[in-house]
Amino acid sequence: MKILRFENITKIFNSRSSLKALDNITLEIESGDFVNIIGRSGSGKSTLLKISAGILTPTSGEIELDGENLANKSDSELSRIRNYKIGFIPQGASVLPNLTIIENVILPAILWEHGGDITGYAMILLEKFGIANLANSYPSEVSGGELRRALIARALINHPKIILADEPTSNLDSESSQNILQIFSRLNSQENVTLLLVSHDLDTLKFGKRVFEMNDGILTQKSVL
Amino acid sequence: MLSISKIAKRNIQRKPLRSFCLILTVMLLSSFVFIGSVLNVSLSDGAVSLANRLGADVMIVPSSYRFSQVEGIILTGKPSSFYLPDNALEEVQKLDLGIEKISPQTFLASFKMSCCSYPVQLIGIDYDSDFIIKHWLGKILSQKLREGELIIGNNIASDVGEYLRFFGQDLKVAGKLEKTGMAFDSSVFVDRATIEKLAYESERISAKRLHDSSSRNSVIMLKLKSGHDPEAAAMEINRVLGSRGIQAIFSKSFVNNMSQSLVFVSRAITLSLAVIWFLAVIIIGLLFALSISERRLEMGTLRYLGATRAKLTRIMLSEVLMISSYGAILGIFLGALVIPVINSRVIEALRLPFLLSSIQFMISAAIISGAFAILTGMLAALIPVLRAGRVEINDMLSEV
Ligand SMILES: Nc1ncnc2c1ncn2[C@@H]1O[C@H](COP(=O)(O)OP(=O)(O)OP(=O)(O)O)[C@@H](O)[C@H]1O
Ligand SMILES: [Mg+2]
Repeated sequence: MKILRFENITKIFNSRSSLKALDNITLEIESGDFVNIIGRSGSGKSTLLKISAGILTPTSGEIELDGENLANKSDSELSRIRNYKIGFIPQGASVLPNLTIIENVILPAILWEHGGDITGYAMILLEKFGIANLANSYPSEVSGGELRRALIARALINHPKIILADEPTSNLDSESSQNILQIFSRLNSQENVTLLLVSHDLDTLKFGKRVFEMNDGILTQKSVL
Repeated sequence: MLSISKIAKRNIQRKPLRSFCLILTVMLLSSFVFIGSVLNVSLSDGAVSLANRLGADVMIVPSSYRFSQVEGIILTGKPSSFYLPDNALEEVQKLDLGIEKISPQTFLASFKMSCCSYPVQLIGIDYDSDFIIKHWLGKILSQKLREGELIIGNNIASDVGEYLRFFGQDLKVAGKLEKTGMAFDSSVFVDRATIEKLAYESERISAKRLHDSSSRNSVIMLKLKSGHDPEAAAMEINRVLGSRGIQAIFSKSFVNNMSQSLVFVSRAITLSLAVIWFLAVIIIGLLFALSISERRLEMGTLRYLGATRAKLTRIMLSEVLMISSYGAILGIFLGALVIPVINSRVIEALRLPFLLSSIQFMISAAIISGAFAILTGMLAALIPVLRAGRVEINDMLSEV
C-alpha cells in the first residue's frame, strides 16, 4: 500500500526565488518501507520532510499521504493528519520543556481523541528504548541521546502510518547514533513501521531498504539493499 | 493523565518569577477594583442617604456659622461648642411651618479623652422630644435617659454598663447607637440636666464662660408634616429670624454640597482605577508577548504534533485564565483584609461620611471585581496569543 507519494514536487522559497530547494522530486514510499536520504547541509532534506508533514506547501507538484492529497486542506484537516498519520521527528530537540519525558511522549495523544491506555503504551515504548527510568525527568535533565529516543517514542504514540525523522543522529556520539539507528531498524524489521529518514551522516548508509542522495534539491537513488 | 489544563499549570509552576509577576499584577488589579468600588459606593451611600439618615428636614444653627462649618460639625464631627440665641426654640415654634417634631440639642466639645484618640462631641438631647438619636438606638432604653447616664456613638470604644469620665464626672453607658456614618458615631449623648452640669464643669475647669446667654441650645432639629417643603420652611425661618442670629438649613442641601467633595474623591478613585487597569493591561500584554516569543519552538512543536491553531490558542489562553484566576482570588482576599482597615482607620482620619456597604453588595463587588480582573488578563494576553497563533509552523520551528 502506498503511504507517501511525491509527484514532480518543486519548492522555491519566496525569499530566495533564485533557488530551487526541491527540484522536481518524484518518490513513492510503500507501507513497511525504510527510505534513507542523505545529503549535504542545505541540500533540501528538511524541506522534503516538512512538505511530507504538511508543514510546508510545495510550489508545484502533488503530494499524497495515505491516499489523501495534502493540497488545499484546512488547518484542522492538516492538523488531524499530522496527529493521526505522521510521526514527525524534527531536526533538533523540540519538546515542551515544562513537561516530563513521559508527558512529552503522551502529548500527541491528548491533542485529539485517542482511546486506549495511552500512559501504559508510553511506558512500554520508553522501556523498549531503555529510558523508562527517566519517565518523570524533565527534558533538561536527560542526555541528547536519551531525548532523541523519547522523541521516537513520542512519534510512535499514535501509531502513525509513517515516521519522518530529520537527522535523528546529529550531535550524538557514534555509540548513541548506532543505538538510535538500531531502534529504527528494529521498528522497521520487527514491527513493519514505515520510515523516511534524512541525514547527512554517512553512518546511516548501512541502514534502510532504499537509500537516496539529495543534491541541491535533486533526488537520486543510490542503491537498493 | 496529561491534559490541557495540566500543561498550563506546569507552564505556570515551572516559570515561578514570570507567574509571580503576572499573578501579582492581576491581584493588585482585582483588589483595587474591589476596594475602589466598595469605597465609592460606601461614600456615596454615606452622602446620598444622609438627609434621610439624619432624620431631620431642617436644622437651625447660629447664623455666625458658615455652611461648611455646620456641615463639618453635623456630618463629620469636628467637636465644637456653640449656642443659639435665647428663646430661639420658642421663636421657631411660634412660626407656622407645619412642624411635626421639634427637638433641641446642646453641643459641648470634650477635652481629649482616654477612650478615644480624638476629642469627643458631647451632645445634650431632650430624650422625650428627640426623634434623631432614638432612631439609631438598637433597643430603646427601658426607661428614659436619666441624669448621669449616656448613650454612646458606635465608634466610642465602650459598652453598656461601663463608665466613662467627662470633666471629672463618671457617667454610665446606658445605650450604644448603630453605625450612622455621621458625626454621631463619634459622639456621646446625655440628657439636658447632665449637659448643664458638664458645661458648668467645663467652664469651671477651663475658667472660661462658654456662652453669655442662658440658652443652652446649639441646634434645633425640625421634622415637618408631610406636604411641607423643607426648603420653603428654611427660607421662612431665615426671613423672619435671620436678623436674630438664627440660621436654618434644609438637610438635603448637605447632600448637594457633600456630593461636591464626594464627586472629587470618587473621581480620584475612578481615575486611579483607570490608570491601574491601563498599566495592568500593558504589563500582562508585555509579559505574555515576551513569554510567547520565548516559546515559539514549543508552539511549533504543539502544531506539528497535531494541535490546530484554535487548540494552540486555547492552550495559551487556559494558562492566562489560570494565572488571572489565581490573581483575582488573591486580590479579593487582599481587598477583604484591607476594606475593614479603611473603614475603621482611614475614614475616621479623613472624617468622611461613610456607610460601609451591605455584605451582599460587597460579595457581588468581589465577584464582579474578580471577573473584571480575569477578563482584563485574558484581554491583555489575547493580542499576543492570537498573533502567535497565526505564525506559520515552519517559522515557529526555525530558530529565532
Ligand atoms: N524558510 C526558508 N526561507 C528561505 N530559504 C530556506 C528556508 N528554509 C530553507 N531554505 C533554504 O532551502 C535550502 C534547503 O534547506 P533545508 O533546510 O531543506 O536543507 P537541509 O538539507 O535540511 O540542510 P541541513 O543538513 O543543514 O539541515 C537551503 O539552501 C536553505 O537555505
Ligand atoms: Mg535540515
